[in-house]
Amino acid sequence: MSKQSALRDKLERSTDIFLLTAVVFAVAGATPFVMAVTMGDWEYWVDWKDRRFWPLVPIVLLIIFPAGLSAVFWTRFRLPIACTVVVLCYSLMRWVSTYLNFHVFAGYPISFVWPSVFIPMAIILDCSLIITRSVFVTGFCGAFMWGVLVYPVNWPMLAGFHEPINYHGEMLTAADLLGFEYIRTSLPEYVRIVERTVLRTFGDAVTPLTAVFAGFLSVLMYYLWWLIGSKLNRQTWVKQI
Amino acid sequence: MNKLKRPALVFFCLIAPSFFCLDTLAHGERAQQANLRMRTVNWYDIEMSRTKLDVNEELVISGHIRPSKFWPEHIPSVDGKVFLNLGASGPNFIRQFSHIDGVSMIQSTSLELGRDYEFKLVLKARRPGRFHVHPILSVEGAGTMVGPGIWVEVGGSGADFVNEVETMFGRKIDLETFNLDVIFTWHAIWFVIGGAWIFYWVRKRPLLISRMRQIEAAEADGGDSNGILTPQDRRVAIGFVVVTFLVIAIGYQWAESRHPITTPLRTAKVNVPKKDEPATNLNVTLNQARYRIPGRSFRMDLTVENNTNTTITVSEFSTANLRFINPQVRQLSPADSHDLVAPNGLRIEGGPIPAGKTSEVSVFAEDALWETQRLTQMINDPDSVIAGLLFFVGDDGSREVIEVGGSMLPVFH
Repeated sequence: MSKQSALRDKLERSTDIFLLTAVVFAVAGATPFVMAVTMGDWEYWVDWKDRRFWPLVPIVLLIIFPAGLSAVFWTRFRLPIACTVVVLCYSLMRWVSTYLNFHVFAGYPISFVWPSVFIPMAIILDCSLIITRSVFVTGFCGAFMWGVLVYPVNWPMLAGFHEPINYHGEMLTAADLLGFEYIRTSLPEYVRIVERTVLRTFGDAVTPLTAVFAGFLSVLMYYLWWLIGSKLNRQTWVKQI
Repeated sequence: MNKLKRPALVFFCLIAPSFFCLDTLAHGERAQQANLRMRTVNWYDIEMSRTKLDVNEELVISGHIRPSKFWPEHIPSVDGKVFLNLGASGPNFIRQFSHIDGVSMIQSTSLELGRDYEFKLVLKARRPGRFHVHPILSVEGAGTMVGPGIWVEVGGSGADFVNEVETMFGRKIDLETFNLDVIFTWHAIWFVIGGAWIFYWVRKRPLLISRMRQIEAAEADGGDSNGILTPQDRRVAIGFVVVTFLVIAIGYQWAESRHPITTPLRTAKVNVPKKDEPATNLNVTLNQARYRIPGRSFRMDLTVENNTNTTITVSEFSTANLRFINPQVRQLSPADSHDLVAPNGLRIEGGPIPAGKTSEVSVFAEDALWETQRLTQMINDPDSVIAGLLFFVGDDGSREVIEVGGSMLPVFH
């Protein structure tokens, strides 16, 4: 019996390695691609990281894979690691892409094309699940935090790029100047979706309002993609292992 | 091994061409429809301050743009949004300054059809190499209107490039490497914390199958499927949440203390002062335009009313960045292999036009450029309208630039 259980443990460890590697590769391949075709530019360029769209679009879209995969990892294994795994893999692949594609191949400085940080939001979402042990409360609180925290998490890196510069008599931020100076032939200035919409009527409160809206949308997206993940998680062919 | 040979050969054939595609030599100029090139933006008097320079040296591109009066109706025009840009294969230059009619073009603007604008682009070389650069005007909804290109050679070393600016608080920063230490540090901190969270869970081995068995067994017995989670797991999770929030708060405060005053990204549209159509003492009417396909000959029959004090003649016809030069009036050679100049491409019948007289003039623009630049496609345009700039020079050295346009008939024999 002990030989059998040792063999079973060995097989299960091998399965762990195989499955986790497969998940990592699948996530690392799929997430950056999906994000690139949905929220790409806001993540590619520092002069797209504004107060209105950048704290909203990327974070609401990025919750798709973490929520869906959380449904599988929590239901099947009670493992609260899905969000962090997805975001870590995504962040790693973004850095690979930033360095190889944007810096080495295209020639842009990394100070212009650095990716944002989403890891702390993923940790909070995962931890919410195990602390509350409730999908509903996790969605309500954890996913809300996921949406709200983008700006403060990235502010240590972004603040410097928002220092004003007097450039030939005009005030620009360092981010604006990077965008102006480093030629992007296929990206004219008017394509930049930054600081638009009438939220400006709230004066300086643009960022907190956007954050709350992003949190609200993230809650809805979390529930939606958890549901989709649950449906795709049904055991159809292999009934018993 | 034999089983692998064919797939390996196929794979090699697929990737091999990528090793020979070393340069991007074209910017899609010829891919645009003929009417887009002929009837949108006219570029002329384009000058490059130099064609050989080193990294960190300045290159100035200047000239005139005249949005066509015959802009295609079905395409959004320059009265929407436009942006003066540079067509180049990547950030081989940085743009230090650009203007249209003296107005800074950091932001987008709008222009008027038929008006003449002066533009300037001041660039600084960033990477060594040989680059084909064009001034371009991006038009919202219509695309990029590409100006004439010229080859520029940049020597020196990219490592010598410096791009220093001073903020309004006196901080000198190099935009090439600005804030990289901060970016890398914060990313590393979060990667470590995230990795630690993952490590806490995956160190428990076996992991997946055994946990799934326990959960299924608990659910089958009607027990608590969360029993697999220990109080320590919960305490560790709370600890990670606390640490995460602490690091966020510390990071935010640190950033606020380091950069107490910040401004948002700038977004606005600038206005170029309105102006009248260029004044002229000539009255030019295009009576008929024909393109004879076999001879690559474009003919325009014009009525020219000369209200100047001097005899005038046509020195040049320019359309779609092609320049057809009248050799009897002007000598001009192509600057390089890609310069679209036909030095003997213009022939005039019926000119010069004496002062105060009206003459019927036929202008023939004839060169293989029509075909090599794919402008013969103009016969496939749905509206068969052409346009271009005629340059009239007087005996007194004066010059007038007149845009003409109208229907075009193809001649197939």
